[in-house]
Amino acid sequence: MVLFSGILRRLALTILLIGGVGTMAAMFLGTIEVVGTQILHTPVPGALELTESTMVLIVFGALCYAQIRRSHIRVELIYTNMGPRVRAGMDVFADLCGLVFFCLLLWQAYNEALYSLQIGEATVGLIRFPLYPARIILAVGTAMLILQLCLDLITDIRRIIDGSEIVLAEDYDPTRPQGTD
Amino acid sequence: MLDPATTGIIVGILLLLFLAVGVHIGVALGLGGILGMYLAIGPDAAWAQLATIPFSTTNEFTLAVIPLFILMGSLATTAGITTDLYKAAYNWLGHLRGGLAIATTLASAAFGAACGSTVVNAAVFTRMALPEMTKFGYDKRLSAGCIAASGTLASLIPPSILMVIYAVITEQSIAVLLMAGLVPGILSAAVFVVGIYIWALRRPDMAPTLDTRPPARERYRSLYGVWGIIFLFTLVIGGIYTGFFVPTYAGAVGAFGAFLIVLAKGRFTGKSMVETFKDAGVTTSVIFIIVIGGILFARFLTYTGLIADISTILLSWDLNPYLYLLAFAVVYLILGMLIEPIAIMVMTLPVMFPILTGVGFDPIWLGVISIKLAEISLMTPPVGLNVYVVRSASPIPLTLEEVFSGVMPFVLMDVITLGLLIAFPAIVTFLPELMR
Amino acid sequence: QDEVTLRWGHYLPNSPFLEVEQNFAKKIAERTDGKVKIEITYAGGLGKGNELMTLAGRGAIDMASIVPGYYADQLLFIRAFQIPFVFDTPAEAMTLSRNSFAEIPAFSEELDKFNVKFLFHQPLGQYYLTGPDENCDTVAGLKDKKIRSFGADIPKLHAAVGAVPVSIGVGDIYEALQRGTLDYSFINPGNIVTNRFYEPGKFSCGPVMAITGHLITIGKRAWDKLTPETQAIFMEEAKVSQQAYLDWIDAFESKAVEDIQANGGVVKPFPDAELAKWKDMAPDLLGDWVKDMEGRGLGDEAQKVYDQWHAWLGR
Ligand code: NA
Ligand code: NA
Repeated sequence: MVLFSGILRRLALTILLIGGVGTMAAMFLGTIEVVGTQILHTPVPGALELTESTMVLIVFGALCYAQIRRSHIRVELIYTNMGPRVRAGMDVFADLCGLVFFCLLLWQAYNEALYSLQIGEATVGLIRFPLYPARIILAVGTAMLILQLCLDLITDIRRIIDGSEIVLAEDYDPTRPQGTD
Repeated sequence: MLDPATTGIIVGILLLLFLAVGVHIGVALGLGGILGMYLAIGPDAAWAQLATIPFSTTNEFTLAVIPLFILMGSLATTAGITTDLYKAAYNWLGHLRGGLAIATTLASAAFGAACGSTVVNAAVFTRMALPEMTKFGYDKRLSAGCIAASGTLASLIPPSILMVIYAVITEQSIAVLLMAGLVPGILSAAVFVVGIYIWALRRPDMAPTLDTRPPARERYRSLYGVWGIIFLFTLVIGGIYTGFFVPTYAGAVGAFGAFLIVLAKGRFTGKSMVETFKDAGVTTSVIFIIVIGGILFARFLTYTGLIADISTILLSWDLNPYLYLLAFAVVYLILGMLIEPIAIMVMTLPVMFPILTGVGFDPIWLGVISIKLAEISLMTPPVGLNVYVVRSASPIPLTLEEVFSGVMPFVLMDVITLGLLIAFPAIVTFLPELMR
Repeated sequence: QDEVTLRWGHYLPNSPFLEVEQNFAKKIAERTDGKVKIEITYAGGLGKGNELMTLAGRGAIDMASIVPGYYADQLLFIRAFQIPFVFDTPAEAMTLSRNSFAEIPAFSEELDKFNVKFLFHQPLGQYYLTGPDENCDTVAGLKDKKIRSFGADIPKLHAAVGAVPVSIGVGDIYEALQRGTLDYSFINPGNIVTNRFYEPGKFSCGPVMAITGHLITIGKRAWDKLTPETQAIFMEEAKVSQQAYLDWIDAFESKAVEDIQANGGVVKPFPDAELAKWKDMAPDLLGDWVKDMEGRGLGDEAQKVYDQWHAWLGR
């Protein structure tokens, strides 16, 4: 299991970095588009459409890694006031709910990706960029999250038994914060 | 098929149960929405909506500004802008009464011009300013409260993720909304500064005056470090204000500006970029899972017609407009005790927005009021996200009770600001009107 | 007919633009003695523009207003109704739409694949160039001008006269015109009035182009729940609505042009000679469409559409 979770973490990081590079691409493209349109009077064809699609990459690319860091937001009102075993039990329930939701999502996303690939779905614009890579990342990112949730489920069931706390991955640096809003 | 009201009650109870036992907010909303559609409309509706929503939500030009604003904040952090800002504020204001807390507030507000997330803002300054204030004998409650509170300024001062989400839900201009938040954001910071000053006057034991003041040369040199934030502020806010680019491209240009600062400061390394991507990616993903779950839930509510029914009933009472506003604030603050702001907006705005604009409130002004309420809810117990962040990022031992008691005076100050914004709507509206 | 409520998902917010579609819903309710109720949910409440066809086809909603532009890889034939410089007037576009759906199977067949059925077509008002500079009535005047563009074909139209196509949303046009981010918007008079584009852009030149709008469709699952009599009522009313829509759009757009002028805007005709020049400079976009269809193995069918349309249009 340690080996497996190590491999999964590497994969999660890789797909996250694909999303990161995608967002950087959107950043450069948007800047070039602004300079091109406003100053050089030559806009970048397809900048708008490509910018949209990179967002799928970052959201679903980072999905699994966010779970590895256990960063998904929850209401902690009761959670923080419970003992370690009850908290582990609550985590098990949260893992199971997450599994149900994301398995359903994967089932639909897989069909959508397959269909998109068949018809060669592309963005609409002067240049047409293929859309299926984004749809595939959506499905792959969700699938990896499901694997991670399975690992977490095993860990959390163990925590009910031995009453231990969550240990986050060793590369977690709390000085680099994440969160919502 | 169940009737809408029954389904609404079942799903409502289930949602509260899920949230209470700590199911992730996005998952709880999403499962609630799917189950609701399954029961009230049928499996076809549930599965088809689940098939289309994740992609259409993450493949949308107006929302694409959010990852770019987040990337901008992460790059600005990597560039060390926060450290520079704090150093300058500290050198110039540290010797005043309550000076360190005032410096923290102003540095945090200034960083709000590069960072769209209140949580990131609070966490960064906890690491940096809290040990410093403690070292000089500041009371932990004042220090922690001030950091948690001034962190929330990031959501009024543009760029702001909450503003973008409000704009998308209510179909308002993102550019106008972002500009509308600037003056109220600065006003909030000013009220904090005055509040801290009065607090420090009355309780000098909690905020001792520093007896040393850095030499003039060092003070002036620290000003040099402020160029980064001025550059970003001019670039993004100037660009949106003059209409040089639309907000999504403002996100791209802002992130690019922050990237240039990373390069200029020699902080561009493979490792620093990987860390930047990790932060930006995780933050973006966490937000969008809540948005996707929220939209699934909102679609379920739309199917049942409950939203339209509630609006019609409430409007038929024909109350004083300010009573509707008060009801909105109360609902928001009660939910704000339990849930984080994005989920609250996704859940409440479809009902409340048509009612409030229907009785004559300006949609842009309403956006600022909603964000102000969201900021307050980030500080109120039991669930105050920014309070949690300060506690968990704190390098010195700190209890939740200490942070909450320290943040309470700031909640009071924010209520005063909120009153001012309601009494004098022009504070909000004059800047966007200048754009027209 | 059993009592049934049909959910109609619309991507547009409720506005006077949708009067004809709302009347269609009312007429159906009247003629079925209230047995068939149609509830329209506006502004993407049940699904955004790029979701509605999938949702209607899969039975998540019963009716949908579908914009072909969102489904460029699915609605390969219907997409051709939105190619610029094919039709001169909304009336021409509507006639072609009616003929095509009646006589060329490829059009309704591609909707069959998605399990939705065509009811009627929305005509769009003709497009005008709107901006602060008065020289919008010559091809030469458009050179190097930044013009609001969208989709795959309209940028080609703008690029053909040396203009700079700029992709921005309708919500950003007002500010963009005011700040000079945009020299001209490219939209119909109804939208010019609704969004007060005559304020930042005093001059409107046109009409320049006509294309069709969205398709009003019903999902097959919902369709099959209707009795043959009710289905016949739907088809009759659809025909009536399509004609009513055309009459309505002409009246509505003429009124909009008057409103622009009443509000201090100046509407200048785009001279025929200049328009002819523009058409000469522009590539044969319908021909490009045939080429694209060849790449998808549908070249023969597309060529037939091309020839038939030219025959119908008398060109
Ligand atoms: Na901000
Ligand atoms: Na709270």
